[in-house]
Amino acid sequence: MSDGLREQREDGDGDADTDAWWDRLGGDMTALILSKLPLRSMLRASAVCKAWRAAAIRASTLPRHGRRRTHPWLFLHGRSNGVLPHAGRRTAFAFDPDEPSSWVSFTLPPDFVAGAGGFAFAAPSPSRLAFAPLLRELCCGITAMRHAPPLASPRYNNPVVAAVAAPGSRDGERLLLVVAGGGGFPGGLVDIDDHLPTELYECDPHGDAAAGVWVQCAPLPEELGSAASSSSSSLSISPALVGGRFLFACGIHSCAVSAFDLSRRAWAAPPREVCSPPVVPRLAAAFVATARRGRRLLLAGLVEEEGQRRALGVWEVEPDTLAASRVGEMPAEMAAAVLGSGGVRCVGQDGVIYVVGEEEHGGYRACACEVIGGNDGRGGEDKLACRWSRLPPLPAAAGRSGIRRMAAFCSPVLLRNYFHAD
Amino acid sequence: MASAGSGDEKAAAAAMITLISSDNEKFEVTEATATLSQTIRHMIEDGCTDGGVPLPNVTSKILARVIEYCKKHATAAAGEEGSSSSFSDAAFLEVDRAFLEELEEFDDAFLEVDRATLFDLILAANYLDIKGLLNLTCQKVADSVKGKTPEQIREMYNIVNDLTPEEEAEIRRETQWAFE
Repeated sequence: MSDGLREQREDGDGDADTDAWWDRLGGDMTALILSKLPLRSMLRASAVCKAWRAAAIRASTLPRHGRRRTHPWLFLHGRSNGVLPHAGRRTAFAFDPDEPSSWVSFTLPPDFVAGAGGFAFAAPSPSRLAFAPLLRELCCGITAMRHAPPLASPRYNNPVVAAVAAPGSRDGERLLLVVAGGGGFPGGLVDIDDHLPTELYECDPHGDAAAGVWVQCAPLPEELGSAASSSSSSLSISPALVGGRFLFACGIHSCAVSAFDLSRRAWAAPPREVCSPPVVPRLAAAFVATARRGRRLLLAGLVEEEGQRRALGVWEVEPDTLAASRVGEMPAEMAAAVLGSGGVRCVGQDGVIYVVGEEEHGGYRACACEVIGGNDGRGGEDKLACRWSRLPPLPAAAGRSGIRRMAAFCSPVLLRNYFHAD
Repeated sequence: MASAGSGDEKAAAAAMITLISSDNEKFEVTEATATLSQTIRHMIEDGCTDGGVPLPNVTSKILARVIEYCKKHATAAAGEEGSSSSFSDAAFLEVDRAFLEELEEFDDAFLEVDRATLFDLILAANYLDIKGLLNLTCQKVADSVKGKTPEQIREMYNIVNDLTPEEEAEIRRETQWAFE
C-alpha cells in the first residue's frame, strides 16, 4: 500500500494526496506534531477534523518535547475601583510568549479580582472567591466558575490572591490558594487598620472546589504597605516558590519584601527593603523564581532620579538575607520607548519579567525580559543574564479608553485546563 | 573492518554497520552514526546486525537523508565530548558555541525539503527511534500549522472537515478568543 502511495505522489501533482500523508502518520505522530504548538494554534488545530481533535486531546497530555517549558503569559486588564462591581464583562488582553506575533483579546468576569496559577479569580461577594481556568469558560457565564467556601474574613478592597501547586502535589493536581490583605473600605477611602488574617485553601481545581475550609494564618506584616493600601494595587505576592515553601510578597511602592512560609503557615521575619541606597527602586515589582533551579529570586524595579531618565533594573535577591545584587538593566533605547513618563507596571514569573509602560497619549507599550543562566548550565554557579525583547503593539482597543487604571498580572495558561474532560 | 590488535576504542570507532533500505540498497555507516537510532542500537546490543540491518520501512532516498543527519550529529556529539577535556573554560565555550551554531545551520538546511520527504523523514525517525530527528521534523510541520486558521490548515493539507457543526461549535464556544 505504501508503494502505491509513493507512486501516486511521484507522478501526481504534488500536494493532491496530502490527506493521505496524515493518514500514514497516524494519531501518535499527529499528536506529537500538535504537542509542539503553542496554545492558540493547538486550539485551532483541534477544530480541523475529528482526527486532529483526538490528536490535540492526546497532545495535551504529552510532555512538551523540544520546548523547555511553557512560559508564563502576560495579561492586561482594567482595574475596578472596588466601589461598585464593574458593569458588564471587561475586555482584557493576553500575550503568549510562545506565539509572540500578536495579543489575544478575551473577557474577564465582571467581579474579577486576580489571575494566578493558570486561573482567573472572581469575588462574587466580599467573602466569596470563585475561579475558572484563564481564558476558558468565562464566556459561558459565571455558573461555570467553581466556588470556594466562604472566607472567614470578608475583603472589600481587592485582596491579593496567589495560587500555587499545593506542596507535595504532583504536576499541580491540587491548588493552594493564598488570600491576603484587601481590608479597609471599598476604594480605600477610609484609612483603617487592616489586620485581616492570611487565609489558605487547598483544593482540586477540577473536582469539588467547595470541599474544604480556609485555614487562618497571621495577617500581612504591616511594613509591607500602609494598612489601608494592602490591596493588590500596592502589593504583589509572587508565585515564586523558593525551596518549595516560601512565597514572596513585595510592597510595590514600599519596596519591602517578606516571605510567607507555607510549611509553617506564617510570615517569616519582618519585611526588609531589599535594595540599599543609592539605587532604591521607586516602584518595585514581582519576585520571580528563575526557571532552571526554581530557587533564585529576582526583583525588578523602576529607578528614577530627579531630572534623569528612567531606568529599569533587575536584581537577584538572596532568599534568606534578601541581599540584592544587580543582574541587568533595560537597554536605554528600549527604556526610552517603553517606560515613558506615565505609570509603569512590572510583573513576572518563572524567570520572565514583563514591563508595561503607559504612553503619554493613551495606549501601552510592553517588553519582556527573560533571565537566563549565563553559562548555558554547564556546572558551577550560574551567572544570570537578561535577554530583553519588545512585545508587539497592543490592539487599538487597549488604548486608555479601553483599559482604564490598567493592571497587569502574569500567569501560566495550563494546557490541561483546555483538554481536560471536566 | 576493525583490524586485530588495535585498541578496543579504536575498534569500536571503526566498526561498520550495513543498513539495507526497502529497495535493497546498502549503506555502510560507522557504529557511532548508526547508534543515534535507538532501534539499531538495540539490534547491535542483541548482536543481530551480521549481514546487515534490513529496514523494510525506509526507502534508499530517505535512508540517505537520515544517515546524513546521523553522521553530522554523531560528529557533533563526539566533538563535544572530546573538547571538554582539552580546552580551557573560555575556549571550550567558544568551541561549544561554534558547534551549536554549525549544527543549527545544518538542521535548517536539512529541513529544506518538500513535504513528501518531510513526512517520510518523520515516519523514518519514528521507526528508527531517532529522538533528535523526530523532534526536528515534527517541529517543522508544527511550524507550518502555527498561527493558521482551521480553514487554512485544511486547505494547505487537503483535509476534509468531518466535524459536525455541533462539534465545531462546542470547540469554539469555550475558546472563542483562539479563533479571532
